[in-house]
Amino acid sequence: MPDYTDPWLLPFPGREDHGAGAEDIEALARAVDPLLVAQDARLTALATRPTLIVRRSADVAYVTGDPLSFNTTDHSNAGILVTTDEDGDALFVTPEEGAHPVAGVYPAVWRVNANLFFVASAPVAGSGYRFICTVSAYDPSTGGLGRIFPLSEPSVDETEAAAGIVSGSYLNLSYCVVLPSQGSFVASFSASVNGTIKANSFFSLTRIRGL
Amino acid sequence: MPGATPTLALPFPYLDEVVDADSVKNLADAVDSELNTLITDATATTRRPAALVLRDTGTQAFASGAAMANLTFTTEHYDNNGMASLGTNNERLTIGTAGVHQITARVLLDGGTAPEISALMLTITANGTTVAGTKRRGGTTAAFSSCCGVDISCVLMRRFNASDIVRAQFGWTGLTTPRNVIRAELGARWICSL
Repeated sequence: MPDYTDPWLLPFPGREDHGAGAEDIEALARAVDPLLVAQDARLTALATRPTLIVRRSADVAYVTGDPLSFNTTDHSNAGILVTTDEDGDALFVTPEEGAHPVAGVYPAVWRVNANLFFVASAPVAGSGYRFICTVSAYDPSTGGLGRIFPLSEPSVDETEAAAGIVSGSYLNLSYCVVLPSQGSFVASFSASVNGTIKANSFFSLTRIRGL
Repeated sequence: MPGATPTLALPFPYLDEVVDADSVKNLADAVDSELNTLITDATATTRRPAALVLRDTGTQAFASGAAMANLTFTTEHYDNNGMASLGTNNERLTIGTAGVHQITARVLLDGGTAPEISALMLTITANGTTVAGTKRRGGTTAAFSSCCGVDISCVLMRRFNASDIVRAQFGWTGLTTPRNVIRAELGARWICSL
């Protein structure tokens, strides 16, 4: 009867055995093999950090009230999905449990960047325009759609609020937040002025670590 | 011919083979090699490519209203992937390992003593092409005056290939007197493989 190491349960000949035979070496090799494979898989999962980048590949006209939309998935791994809600007015990003390389570790900490480059089409100095970007998380385990909640106060471009906007200038709204929840993430944008959302505007999501 | 495990081909003797010291040594050597591979992978995972270059000494003058120009840097704060070579090219990071990278840029402009600066503009380029949009801070009127300077920053997440060249470009508008960039930084951090 073999004995086993602790904690990895590697087999070796027991005290009552006399020496080691071929079967002992084979048993040890077959025990070590999956352990090494599992460790390599863990490292691969860590190196394949779940990341999503969606962006606009070309300019798109924006009218106040329009939905935020990105037309290109720049990068997506680990089964992160991109959809829109039933009104088409938001971006949903869903890390799919099971497709995740380190499934079962939710909730996790995520870093979000929401960068929007916006050009006002009819700027009026001193009008106090407000450009707002909000990132929210939706936890499906807690109930219906009403459970959507913001993870931070809306990001407002404050510098343009009183100074007026130069026609053709860009605005960049961006911030990073930690998302201690599983489920879907929503980025929305609203501006009180018509204009253009420029190419290279993007939304990104990166898993940092489990909790 | 010894047997071997199905995945990593760790060797072991068959039942009809002679078991000797080499039987154990062969397995030990194979495990040793696999552990080395694991250590290499773990090191790569924990030492993700990253670089940060700074302007933390001297100044770089920018004329008001001029076309946006590359920021230049003086100091390699850290670089674990050979991305910075300021002695050769002091305005860039060269991506060392293909993958999604987070690029950060920040600049601090001498604000002067009177309201002279209307707006700051900052963007990030890849191989000479703007890829981040241009971040703008400020409007049409001279809004900033500061004894400490006026800053602007920009963040980008994007796929990059090895050898891609990343730069940060800066410009400002306001009165005509040139202003100096007194601090600047450009960073690149590998996030994940493509």
